[in-house]
Amino acid sequence: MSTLNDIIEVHICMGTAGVASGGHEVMEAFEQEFKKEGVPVVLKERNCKVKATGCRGLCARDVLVDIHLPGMEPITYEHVTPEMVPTIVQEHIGNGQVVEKWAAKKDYYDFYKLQKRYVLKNCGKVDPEDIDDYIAHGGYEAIKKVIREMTPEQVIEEVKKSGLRGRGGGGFPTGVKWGFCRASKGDLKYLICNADEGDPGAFMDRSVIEGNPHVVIEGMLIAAYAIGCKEGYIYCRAEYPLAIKRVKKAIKIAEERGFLGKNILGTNFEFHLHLKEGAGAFVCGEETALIASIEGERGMPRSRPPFPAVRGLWGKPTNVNNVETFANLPLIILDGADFYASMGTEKSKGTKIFALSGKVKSTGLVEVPMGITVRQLIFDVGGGIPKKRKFKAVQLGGPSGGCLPESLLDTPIDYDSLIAAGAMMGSGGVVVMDETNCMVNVAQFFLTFTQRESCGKCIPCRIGTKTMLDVLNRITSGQGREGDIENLLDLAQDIKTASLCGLGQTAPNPVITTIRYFRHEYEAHIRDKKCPARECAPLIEFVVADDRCKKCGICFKACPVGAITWEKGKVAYIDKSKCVKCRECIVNCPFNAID
Amino acid sequence: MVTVKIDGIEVQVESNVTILEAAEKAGVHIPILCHDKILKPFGACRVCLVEVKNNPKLMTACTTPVADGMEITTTNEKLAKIRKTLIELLLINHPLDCPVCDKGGECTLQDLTYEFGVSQIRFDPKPNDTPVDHTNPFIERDIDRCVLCGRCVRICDEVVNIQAISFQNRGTDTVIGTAFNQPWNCEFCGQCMSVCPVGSLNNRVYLFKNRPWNLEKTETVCGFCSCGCTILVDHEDNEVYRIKEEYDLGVNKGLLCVKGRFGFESFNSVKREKNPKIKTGEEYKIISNEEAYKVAADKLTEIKNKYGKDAVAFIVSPRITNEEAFIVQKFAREVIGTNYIFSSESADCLPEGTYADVEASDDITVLNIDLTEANPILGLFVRMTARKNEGGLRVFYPKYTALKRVASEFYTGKPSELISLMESFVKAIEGENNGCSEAAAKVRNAQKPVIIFNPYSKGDVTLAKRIKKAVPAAKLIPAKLKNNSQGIVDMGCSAGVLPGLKKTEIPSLEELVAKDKIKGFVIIGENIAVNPSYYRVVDSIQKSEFVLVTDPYFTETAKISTLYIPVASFVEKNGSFTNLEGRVQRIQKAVDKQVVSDAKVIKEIALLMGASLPDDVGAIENMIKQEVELYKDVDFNGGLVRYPYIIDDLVNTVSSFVGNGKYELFKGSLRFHSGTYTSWSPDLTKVYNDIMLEISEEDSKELNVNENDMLAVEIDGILKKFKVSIDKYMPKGVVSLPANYKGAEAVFSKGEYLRVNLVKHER
Repeated sequence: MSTLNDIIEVHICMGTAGVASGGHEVMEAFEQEFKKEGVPVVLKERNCKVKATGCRGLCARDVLVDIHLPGMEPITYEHVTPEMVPTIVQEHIGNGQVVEKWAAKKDYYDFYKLQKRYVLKNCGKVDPEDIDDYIAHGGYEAIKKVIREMTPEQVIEEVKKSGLRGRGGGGFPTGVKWGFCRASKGDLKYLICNADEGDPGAFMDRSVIEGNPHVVIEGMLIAAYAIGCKEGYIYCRAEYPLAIKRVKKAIKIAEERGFLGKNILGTNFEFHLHLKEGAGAFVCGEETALIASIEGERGMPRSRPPFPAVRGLWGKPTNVNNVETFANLPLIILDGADFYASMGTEKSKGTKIFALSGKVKSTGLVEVPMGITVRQLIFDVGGGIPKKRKFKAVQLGGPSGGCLPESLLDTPIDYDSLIAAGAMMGSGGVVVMDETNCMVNVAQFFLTFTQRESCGKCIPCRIGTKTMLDVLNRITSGQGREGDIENLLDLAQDIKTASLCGLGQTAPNPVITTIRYFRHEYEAHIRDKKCPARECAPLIEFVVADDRCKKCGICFKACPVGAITWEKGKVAYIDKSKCVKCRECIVNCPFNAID
Repeated sequence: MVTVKIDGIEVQVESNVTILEAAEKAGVHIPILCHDKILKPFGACRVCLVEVKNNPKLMTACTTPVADGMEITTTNEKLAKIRKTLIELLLINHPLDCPVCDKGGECTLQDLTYEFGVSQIRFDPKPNDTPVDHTNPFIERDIDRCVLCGRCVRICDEVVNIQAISFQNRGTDTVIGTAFNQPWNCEFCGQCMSVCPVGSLNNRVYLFKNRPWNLEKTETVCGFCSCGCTILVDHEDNEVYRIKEEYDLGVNKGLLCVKGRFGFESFNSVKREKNPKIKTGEEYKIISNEEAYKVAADKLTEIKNKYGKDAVAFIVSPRITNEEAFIVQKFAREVIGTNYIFSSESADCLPEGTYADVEASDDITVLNIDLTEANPILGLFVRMTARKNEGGLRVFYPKYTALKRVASEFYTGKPSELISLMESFVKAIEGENNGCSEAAAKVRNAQKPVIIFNPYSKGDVTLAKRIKKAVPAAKLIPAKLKNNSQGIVDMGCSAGVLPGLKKTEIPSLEELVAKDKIKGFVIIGENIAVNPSYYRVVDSIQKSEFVLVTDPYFTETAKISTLYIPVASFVEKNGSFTNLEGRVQRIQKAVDKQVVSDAKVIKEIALLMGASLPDDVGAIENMIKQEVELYKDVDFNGGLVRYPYIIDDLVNTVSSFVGNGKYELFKGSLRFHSGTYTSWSPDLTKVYNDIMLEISEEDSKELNVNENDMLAVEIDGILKKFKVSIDKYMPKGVVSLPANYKGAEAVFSKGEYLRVNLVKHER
């Protein structure tokens, strides 16, 4: 049942994906529609409120619109365009008749079945730019409880008891980390929220900040109280302009309402929060490089020890946590550590937000309890592989992580199991691959990224990743040599051991795991000069296999340069002199008939 | 103290040292590349990775602090493999330049390649071919050889505090460069070059001339200024090829300046004379040394007999050694019998503070000097301390200097206003409540205040002494100019001073010359013809009966002499200097240029006049120890002289202005020059060899002059034109000329501060 009384609410997804899909236009269309002549009569004089909300999760179906009629279940419409709005208003809101053809189907709701939208529970419900909406949904109750009923030590104990581990990828027990910083001497301590989220394909933190920025602020307040920090920074990457806009607005209004600044809630507790924008460097997601960046220095990591908890920002004790980690805190305080610890596994408590992308039907933001298997995540939540293709591998943890092949699909998702399997939780990026993905190409993709983002300070990462990339480039262009695989593995080990920071220490992981599970692909590239997945253009012959071609003509239509000749009922033929190796034919062929 | 075990060897160290430092104490070698003793640990190269028991990660020895009971392994198979890979990776991009690279033979990359046994590269070499950068007149930059250890960036940041270069771009595109790739325009101190472990930053004066294994190293003390830096002279076959440094030698911690590093060709100068010259008519005729000594002895005896012993005057340069100065004054006082010994130095301002005092200070005041030009190494210690203390540096100077970047207070303005301000400052320290009370309170409350002042301005000396009287804990450091400015005074070669700083009264040189009392002059090394202090007497001196000049070069003063004898520069003789700290340090002969030392000249002339004076440095040192009380117990290998610091009743001298023109003129500096040796260095003069009149931007607009136009300075009957240089930090109505170079003697002879007029010149 809709829990809203008497007011009709139209919730429109206005996360970046929603906006990109036309969320603003849809919102305008609704507002216009409600103002039009004669419409209030249709609506029987009820109040209609159009509300922008955060990410609902199934970004692939944007623009998503929820209609909340009092006394009825909320109905979700997918792929809404401004043209559809008048019909929805007339029939659904006016007459109470759901427009079935546009409403979300079973697969939409299946998407949510295994999820536990706990941290994200208000994301998609609350207007991120309206602090009162956040308060109406229980916002800022946790910090009130903390300040009025708990001591800082009690807060740290509660967080320790909850078993919360850092959600940025490190997985370090948060309560323990806070304890180090609290124990450091000094009056001035800093709290930093790492919102740099540089992993390609990761948008968990973005969605939380865009959808519910106040939960992050509240989480930081709880941490600041527990550790004793007076000053805080949210370091948000500049490539998230919407998140930055919303955080700035949230900080300002929180200050006005007395949740930030001096004498918070009328007590001695003070916390001043500042926003610092990143400048396009993945390495600044590493905590010491992030600290250097805030100081105005070049974003290069620094040796540890000394650890930031002892000597961090401007030499003062500093605690750095991820956005999602902070977002968990108000819930832990309000629901209690015991309840929180009841979710998840023995060593990995709570839930984790993942960004599902790649060859999976339902791409978007999901939140699942720790402990569900990778198979469940991809097939039950994600809906499985589209276009009737076969699952090949899944990359977990972005460019720092590793891939898992089919044989390891039943690995439970928790910090330790994934590491044991050779991958890692990372920040939550999940990229699914099917049989048309070349694993050498996958490794090359991630290594290109880390190599480009290397800060250049230490020899193993700066030169080592480039050297590994050069070898991979040779392999994917048909110039692989005997001994390349051994050299790659050997160099990878040295880079992992010797690098200064996490970027270098984990950059070789995609290469190591793809060689471990897909060595035959590497060997095919090197020895046979062939790419079995047909992704590496220099190794593809672009010849139609007569025996597999079903004469459907799809490739003929897909080719942008007209290099394919085909007639109905005949096998297609590719003219190599015209072919530009764009692979559109291969990508579109449903029968894998082109070699 | 904590105990740690390194490779099984137990060693006790302070609790805040790094593994690398502990290993040094234990005698265990850990290879390094990006680390340097004078810099903060960086941890970039990973070469020093070691294993620490119970720690799954390898730790960099240079950054990791020790803990009690730590057990460290510095070499094993795993570490050896990693080190090999690191060098292999560096060699992939490193050009195969060893045969033509100056660093060959002393290159850290070569050494590590050899030490780690890197004998093959498994990956494709990819060196770049970037053109070599020659925009810097002294330092060649070959960016392809750079290994990105960051030492150059860090020393320019942490020590020199100029931040002229930094990392640009990211990852494999990283290069070391200047802001916006502008041509290098810094102090050219060469600190970056001295710490570069490979041949990426090279000394252009030394470039391609020799190989390190051919060179002999002689440790000695630099003679370009009063800092007293220990240098290593690299020479072969009596040619000086290079000047280098070392952190553990002397007091300068391996820091040198542009003069020391790049000015050494002045010693090899082909313009140096090898034979004495005697004036015959308008020409100079070459004679032998023996003939020259005879001429000198004869003429001096003649003058003494004819006019009396006080008819000979001595002018001594502060560049000669203690031993030479002692022998010169002995010759003057005992052989000639006169006390008329003059120099540009005075006994009024004695050294008290040392570089260690600067490093330990929590409040430094620099009164009215362009410290980083006058005494670069003292300037560096000041900058490092100010940076470490994040402040505690107060500077008074008419315009902003390099110290601006680290100073917490910098007072500029017209000289007349500045002098009043300094007066207020000192009055506030003495207890008066005025606008400077806040700053004065800092000095009074500081634990270890240091005051650095200009000892050549009587007004400034008075200010410094007044501060000392009010704050006895303050240490005074007079910024003396020349390498033995203090030593010659101690030896008794300053007007009215007997050896050991005993006082005596003599008339001034001007008085004596005006009354035509002096018939013969012995000028040891001082280039009086271009020194403002002697401007008024030069003409008269030129006309005297006999002028003997000794100097390594045939200077302007040599050109007015009757007899010129070429002598050794500081790299060609033994002896000792006393620097601005009051520290006595020995110099060693490195090369022989077939000229004699001043001591020998004096000895020979004395011998011909019937007196026996030694020229052997050891013998003279013994004499000094016996006859100069002040030096009796001083260790000549770096010991400090304990000067009697008594501030008696101060005669309140205030700096005065001469003239009534519109612009205030003060004594500035010409970059990279100290005016004597440096003028003979083709490399230093290539960059700056012409003095410029520095004026403000507003004045240049008012006068409608541009850079390099000519402007004439008019003061009290003197009209001299100079090239204009526009300085954006110069206050309006203020101009300056360098006092440490030739060309402005006529102007500066008028006084310390001048009010001049500027006249436009058509040319």
